[in-house]
Amino acid sequence: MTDPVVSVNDLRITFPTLEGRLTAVDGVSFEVPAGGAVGIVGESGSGKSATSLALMGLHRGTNAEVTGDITVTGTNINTASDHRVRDMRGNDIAMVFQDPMSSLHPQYTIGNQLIEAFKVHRPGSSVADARKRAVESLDRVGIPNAAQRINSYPHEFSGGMRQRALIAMGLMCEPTVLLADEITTALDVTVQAQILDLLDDLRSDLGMSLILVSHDLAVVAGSVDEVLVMQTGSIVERGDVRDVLSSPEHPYTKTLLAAVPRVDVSRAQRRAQVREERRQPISEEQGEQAKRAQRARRRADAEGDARLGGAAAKPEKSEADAPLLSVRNARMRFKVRGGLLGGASDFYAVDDVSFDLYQGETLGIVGESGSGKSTLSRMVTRLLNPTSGQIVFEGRDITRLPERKLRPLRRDIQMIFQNPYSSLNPRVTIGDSIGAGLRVQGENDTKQIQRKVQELLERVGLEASHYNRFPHAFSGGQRQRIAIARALILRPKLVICDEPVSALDVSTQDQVLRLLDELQDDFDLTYIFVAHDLAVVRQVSDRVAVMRKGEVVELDHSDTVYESPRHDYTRELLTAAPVLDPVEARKHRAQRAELRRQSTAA
Amino acid sequence: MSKKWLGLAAAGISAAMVLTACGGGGGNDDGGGSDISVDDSAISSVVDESAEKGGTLKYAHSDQFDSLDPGNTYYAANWDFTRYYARTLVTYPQKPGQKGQEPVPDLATDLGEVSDDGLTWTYTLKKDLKFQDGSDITSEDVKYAIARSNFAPESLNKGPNYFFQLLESGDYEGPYKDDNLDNFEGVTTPDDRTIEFHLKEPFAEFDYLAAMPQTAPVPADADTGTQYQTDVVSSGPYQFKGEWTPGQQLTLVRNEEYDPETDPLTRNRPDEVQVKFKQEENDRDKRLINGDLHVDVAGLGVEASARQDILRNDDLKANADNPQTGFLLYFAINPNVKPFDDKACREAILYGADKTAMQGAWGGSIAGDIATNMLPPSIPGYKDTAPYGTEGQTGSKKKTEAALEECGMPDGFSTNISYRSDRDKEKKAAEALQQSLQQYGIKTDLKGYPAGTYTSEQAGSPEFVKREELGIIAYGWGADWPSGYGFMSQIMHGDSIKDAGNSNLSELDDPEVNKLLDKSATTDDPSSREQMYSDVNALAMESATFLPYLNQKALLYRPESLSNVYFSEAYKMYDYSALGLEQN
Amino acid sequence: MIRYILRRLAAGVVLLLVVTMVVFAIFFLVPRLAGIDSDGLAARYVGKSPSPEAIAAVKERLNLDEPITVQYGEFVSGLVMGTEYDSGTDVIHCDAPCFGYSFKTNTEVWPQLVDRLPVTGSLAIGAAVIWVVAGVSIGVLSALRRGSLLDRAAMITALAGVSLPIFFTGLVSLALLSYYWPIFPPGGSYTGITENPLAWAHALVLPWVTLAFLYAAMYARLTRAGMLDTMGEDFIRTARAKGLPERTVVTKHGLRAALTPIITIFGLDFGLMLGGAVLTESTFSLPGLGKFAVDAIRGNDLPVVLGVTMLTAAFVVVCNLIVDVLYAWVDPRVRVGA
Repeated sequence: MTDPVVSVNDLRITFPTLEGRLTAVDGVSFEVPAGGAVGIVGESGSGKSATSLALMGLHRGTNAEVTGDITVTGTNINTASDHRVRDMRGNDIAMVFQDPMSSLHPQYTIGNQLIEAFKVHRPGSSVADARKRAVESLDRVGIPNAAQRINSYPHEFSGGMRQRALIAMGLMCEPTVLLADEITTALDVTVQAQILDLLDDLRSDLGMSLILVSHDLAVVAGSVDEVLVMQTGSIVERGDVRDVLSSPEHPYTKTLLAAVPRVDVSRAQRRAQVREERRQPISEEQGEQAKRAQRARRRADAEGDARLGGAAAKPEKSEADAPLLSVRNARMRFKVRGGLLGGASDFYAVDDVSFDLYQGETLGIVGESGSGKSTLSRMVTRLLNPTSGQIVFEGRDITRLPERKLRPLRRDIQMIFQNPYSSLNPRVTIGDSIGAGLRVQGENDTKQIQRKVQELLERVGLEASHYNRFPHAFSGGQRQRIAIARALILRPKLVICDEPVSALDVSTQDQVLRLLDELQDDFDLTYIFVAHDLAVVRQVSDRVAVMRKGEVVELDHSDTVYESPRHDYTRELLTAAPVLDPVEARKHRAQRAELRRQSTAA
Repeated sequence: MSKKWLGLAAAGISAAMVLTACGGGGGNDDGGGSDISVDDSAISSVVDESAEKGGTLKYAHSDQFDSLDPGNTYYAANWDFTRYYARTLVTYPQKPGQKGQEPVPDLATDLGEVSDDGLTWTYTLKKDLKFQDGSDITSEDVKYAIARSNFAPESLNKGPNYFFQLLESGDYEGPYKDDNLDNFEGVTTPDDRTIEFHLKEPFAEFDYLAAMPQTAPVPADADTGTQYQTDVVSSGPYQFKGEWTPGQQLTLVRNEEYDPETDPLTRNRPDEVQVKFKQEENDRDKRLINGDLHVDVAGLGVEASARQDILRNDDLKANADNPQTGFLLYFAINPNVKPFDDKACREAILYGADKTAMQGAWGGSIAGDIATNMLPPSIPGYKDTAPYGTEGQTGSKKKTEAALEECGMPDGFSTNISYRSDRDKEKKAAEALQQSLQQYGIKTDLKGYPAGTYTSEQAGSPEFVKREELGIIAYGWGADWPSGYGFMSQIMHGDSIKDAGNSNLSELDDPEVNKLLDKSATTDDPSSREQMYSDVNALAMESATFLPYLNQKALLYRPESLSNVYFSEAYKMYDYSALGLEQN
Repeated sequence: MIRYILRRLAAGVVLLLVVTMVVFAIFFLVPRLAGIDSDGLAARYVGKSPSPEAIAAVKERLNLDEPITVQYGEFVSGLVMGTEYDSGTDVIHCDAPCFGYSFKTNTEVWPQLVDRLPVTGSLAIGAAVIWVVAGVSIGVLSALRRGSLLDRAAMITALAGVSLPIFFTGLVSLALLSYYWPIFPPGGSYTGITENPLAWAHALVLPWVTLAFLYAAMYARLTRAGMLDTMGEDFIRTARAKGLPERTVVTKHGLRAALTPIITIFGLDFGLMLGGAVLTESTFSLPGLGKFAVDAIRGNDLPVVLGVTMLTAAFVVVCNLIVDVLYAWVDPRVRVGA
């Protein structure tokens, strides 16, 4: 066996903080064989990104302290001179970062940035050579018309294309190792699948080694041979990807796996599972939060509030009832500013959408970015005024209701957004933030407000004592709980969740989804759940609408949509969705390749 | 003297406005105690007398001249400065002290010759006088100069208009509207060298008017109206170096056609004269002190910081002068505002005022000498009297209380003091007066008004004064020419009380004062006139409507490199025409 | 792009008209609101003791009795078509653009503005070069050595620079470097660059440095903040990951992004300064536009004030336009929808 191209031995990275040194990576060792692919999986704070930066020597010049051995293609990164490390970067080991918008310099053309990466390691080469190389590289990552697009600026590329351009940049010098850090996180499923396929192809074509860093087990499942699971700076489990995913040993790996939303698990299954768990006595593993939540729920039940009660006994929705919400032929038109002439053309963000939504039901709306799903949800809440069509809520046509008359309706329809931090005023305590809704609706008794808010805080798994804290004191998951509490304080009938969990780690995501589920039971809520993640949508939705370019291409019971999709686009999405089973993942990849071949042949 | 003439004098000889008008620069609140003094040699003698010629004399102006056109300017500094290139019929001799204010013939062979009826003044030009282009200076050129500067207010209106008021010229419309100069009958020119001025009424001090730059000859074909200031045709020792743009540096070079033999003055010492405008005041003072500049052309004295530098440094003090500016600061007490209708109440103010405190308000002895009567000391006819004077000029408790008793208000009374709100030191002086009166139970409210409208709309409006009960009014006064008439007629003659723009703020209308002033205008003998002015001064003081407190002084600095420096009593600043540079 | 520039220029012209209207209104309405009649206004523009005839004549010459609309109309028509003035002896043609005739000095405004422009231009350009070079390099160094002695010293100096008024730093520098140690000529010693370039530069060193000190301080702080932000950006990490030398990372990738917003500020600052650096010009007695404007305001000389205001506004408009065009060139993202 040849020497590994990357070998890491007892890597430790510490950062100074106000509370002393924080150990981000604690004794990590691994090897990557030549041509091999290793996945590093972990949630935020696991130390996976710090590890990958260390491989590039990118902690130099910061106040991070790195100890241990890192050998990349025979050079010890920790002891080599700055100059030597610079020579290796991009040449021997190239890194592709996540968030391709901010990782490309906005003021230089793609070509410029690619050529630069080449010229710095091949000082003798001519600009023409470098340019040719850049075109080849872009071509290889699947940028159409590479020779022209090379002169484009990053903002003229879509997210997927930018990610490809970054990969192309990494490939400029044909590095021995490619280090990909969360490169698909911000991308739509179909694009994500394409990028992962691309990496796989490159690996086999160029014989590169690949280190794939991600929080998503499903992403690495189909792309690597070996997987490392990291938790708080240490590797808790490692092994062949098939073994780890099929029979995880470490409890953390197990929870992680359990938390991953499965596109192949139906809502009914999941609900059954959740209810089952709720009926069981609270185990230690479920922790304090769950206990508090259960206590709060019991208290609410005891008070006998009609809307709170009857949770477990909630009947399945009956289609015979009048729908809570009914949307008919809704269209939303935006003017798009044209070129220099300043002319505007019309663009329909939502085009002729109709659906009904019944009390207690969850409608999932799934689609990729630009599909119009967020616009639709804003129309329903009348944050946007529909261009045409009709929106009927509880039998009332609210499409053209003036703002004044809408106000009582606002308490019945609430929204939860993707980024709870930016929607919380950083200068207002969360208690006041949540209580503001009550005040707006005319509640003046401060004590009463406080009591209600604190009850609700406990109900969503926070503590009553959090009332006087400010948003920055909370983690992402907690903030989302705050946002949920704020939405629920007015006891709405309909809650619209717009990508409520897409910014969260899988385990947190799972907790929030469970919470939403429980609350639906307890409060008899009706949800519209907007997301791009097919698996998440499946788990929470009774029915699913698939949107593309402003239109609903398919709307049916979620199991029907997922198990026997009628529309091509739905099928495309489903094959693109990452699956946990490596074997299944490879199968999907082969299917995708087949689809591509067919379409190019056609 | 007829009533008609008097009306004219009253309305018109608004004259008396301040030759040294912009009483800025001077007086600041740092002068210190009363014992501070500087060299002062240039007030009484010519410093560094020397016959040396040559060099470039450098002036600086913190702003700019109102105009360089001798026919369109009203600032003493300009009148002083235009002597470089604009010779007049008569002028002031280059002598320090009182002698410097007695006119001597310049272009004219003699002072004016007055006809028996006092209505015609005749001057004869010297022979061989030439403009810078070599052409002869004729009587016609002087006549034209008078015509354009006094009869074309639509274009040239910045200068005084004495000739317009005094000359018998019918409805002459000025040379710009009327091409024919013969239609201007106020001045006639029997021949090329003779100029006759025809007056409506006699005016004994006409020679002072003939010394104003408006009598400097202007060739009609070179006149460009408002633009003449950019290219004045010189009759003096220097001429403009090319056309001048207002605001830009002015350079004067020698006029080759000038014949010093015809000139009673020696005004051709430097080779070149430069004036830079818009120079920052503090910086200007520094450059003056380090010799980089020679003269601050506005002649108002140095700013506060340089003033401190000079007073603290004996070397600098040796090159400084602290002369009176001819500007008299006083409070008018208006007898039409109660309780000042009672003379005893006015006297209470005069006795109660602490003049040293008011002097302190202006900056101490460097800023001015305490004034005890209503004539500046440099004016002929001044006598060192102190009616209503008190011990040490600090006010007299005994006399004030007696006066209050007499006016029937032993516990005091209330009135108002008005001042110009944008003049900081005037305000401080008003406050000083307020303080000193307070101890006698005389309560005063201070009322500030903007300087721009003070004389036209507030203090200058008798109706406003009465309505607002402005019993005590802060004011200051200087003369256009150094005579008692020039100083007093406007602020003391009953006929000069006007509904608006009034300067007789005491509203003094004493028949005897009026009669004396009228008579002085027709009295040829200077010493008789001086006696009359002295009497008017005494009568005005006797009326107890004037509270003079300060004869303002300026702190002037003369760099060592200057020669022939002396303080001109006529212009109240150094005589620029005499200045030379020490050559090494 | 050309359409865009034309559109912006047209907007600039409208802006200039609005500016003149405002200045006009201030000068004509405010005194009237304060109760000064046309006689009072006319009295401002004659000598110390005007005769009623003189006041009447001035009132007529300056059209002070006309309604403000007529007066403004005449101003604009003079601007566009030129106008004529009676000097007494002659009729003077004032060609377009005629900014009028100074009430105080009876001189055409436009040539005076043109005369003063080189002074202000010399001052502004020289100072701008110094402050941009000094400010940006200090800012960059400070950002790169954040927390170092150099950084702290530079930022304290910068704070001083921002807080100290120009008339203070100017007078101190004059006192020290011109009077105490006569290295530089004193105030008021401006020489045209065409006359003697050496004397020109020599006389302007102190004004340049004084003025540049203030702005360099501001720009150092701005650059430092910008660099700190930029150097934390992901694309900087990308650049490093490419193996680029640190110098290239800082200059090519860091500086360019950090400087882009500064260009906008620079355009405004520079445009305003071309309209006159009032304090510096006053302190050093430089006969520039700023001092000209201040004196004119003090003397109620409306045509001059209007002239300087319009010139300044025009400079700001043009500089802004240049900056925007430049910005589009520097930052491709802006080109979208331009």
